[in-house]
Amino acid sequence: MAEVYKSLNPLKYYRDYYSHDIRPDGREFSDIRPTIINVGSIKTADGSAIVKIGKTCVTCGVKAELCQPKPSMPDQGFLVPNVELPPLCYSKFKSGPPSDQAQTLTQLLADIIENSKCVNLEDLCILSDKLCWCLYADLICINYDGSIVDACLIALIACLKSVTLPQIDYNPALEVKQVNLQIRRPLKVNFTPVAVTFAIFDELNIY
Amino acid sequence: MASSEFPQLKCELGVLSKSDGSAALAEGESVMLASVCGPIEVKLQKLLTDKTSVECCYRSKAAEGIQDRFRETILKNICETALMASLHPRSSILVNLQEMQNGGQLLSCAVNAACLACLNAGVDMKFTFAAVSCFLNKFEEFSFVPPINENEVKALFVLVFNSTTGSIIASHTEGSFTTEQFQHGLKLCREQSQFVFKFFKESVINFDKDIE
Repeated sequence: MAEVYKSLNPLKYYRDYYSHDIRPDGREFSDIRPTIINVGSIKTADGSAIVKIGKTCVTCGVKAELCQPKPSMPDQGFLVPNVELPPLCYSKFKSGPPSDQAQTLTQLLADIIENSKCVNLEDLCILSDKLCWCLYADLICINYDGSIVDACLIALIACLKSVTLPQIDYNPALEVKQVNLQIRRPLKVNFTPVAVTFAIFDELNIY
Repeated sequence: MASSEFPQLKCELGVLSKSDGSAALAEGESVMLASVCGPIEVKLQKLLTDKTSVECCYRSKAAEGIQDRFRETILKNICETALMASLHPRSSILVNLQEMQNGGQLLSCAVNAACLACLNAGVDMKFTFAAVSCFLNKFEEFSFVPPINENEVKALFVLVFNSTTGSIIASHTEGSFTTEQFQHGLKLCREQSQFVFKFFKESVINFDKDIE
């Protein structure tokens, strides 16, 4: 019965619940949905995490590559997030090149990482102006059911905390790189930025 | 604590002859060109049956990047709130912005240029909107003028206000800061937004006089 009512008169459906200071799923206004984090589930990646907030599900994997630092910032490595919103996560998303929303999310995550300085990019430098790490953090949305920014940020940070980088023996004179996969050291994550999404319903209730 | 100096605003309305409304706005050293077309025919993909689809196109001076998409999203959200979208269903309003010169406060300049272009185009709006950029430098001082050295910026607040109720319709921040600093920046921006609205009014009145 409630389902029919919800589709016939969605506004009234929500207002009825909110007038009693409760959400349709029984939570209070300030409660977040049950959140699950699973770290290290992708064994082939250098770091990975899957996050579920309610039904929203985002998975993140980090791939580390060796590259040369930018001449303008010779002591810094790279951390490049990329968000994908594939058609499987929501019927409104189409396949093809990344949508505006995915690009906006990517930029937002890049800004958050940069502004919070949670990863010191100088830690990713192996030898100034010669060799550094480039971390590609790929986030894929599995199920799109609200609070996507929150889920993406948790997934990204959890994933970065699980990243281990192999030791590199680099001889600059001969330009020989030796990757020692046995010895791996964890990436230092200084801060944990957290995102919280709110909505205002009828100018009265914060949802 | 804050310097009262605000970057000088200069604008020219109706600079483009083939768009429905256009404006060139200089905010200090930043210059933006905005044009608004609409309501015009809509692409089938973006057709909305209950309201106008607002599309934003931001072009930066340098190569295109995802930063432009991010700015487009902000601008689109602002325009969708301010324009009377329900008046023209199954049509679209295009807001185009071209960066001419980057002086540090690009986003607020873009938002203000978009508002002037909308006014010039005569599209129906619920209210006008004005953006104010406020910089917090590393000496914890607030300023509306960007510091000469880019590395001195500790945080940047861009706040967009509604002209009728004065409520915030968009906020964008860069850098890290405390809640108190944000509140203070918000207060400064709100006061300053009144002058921006006054500037909009004068610009439109002067433009009308020029036509007569």
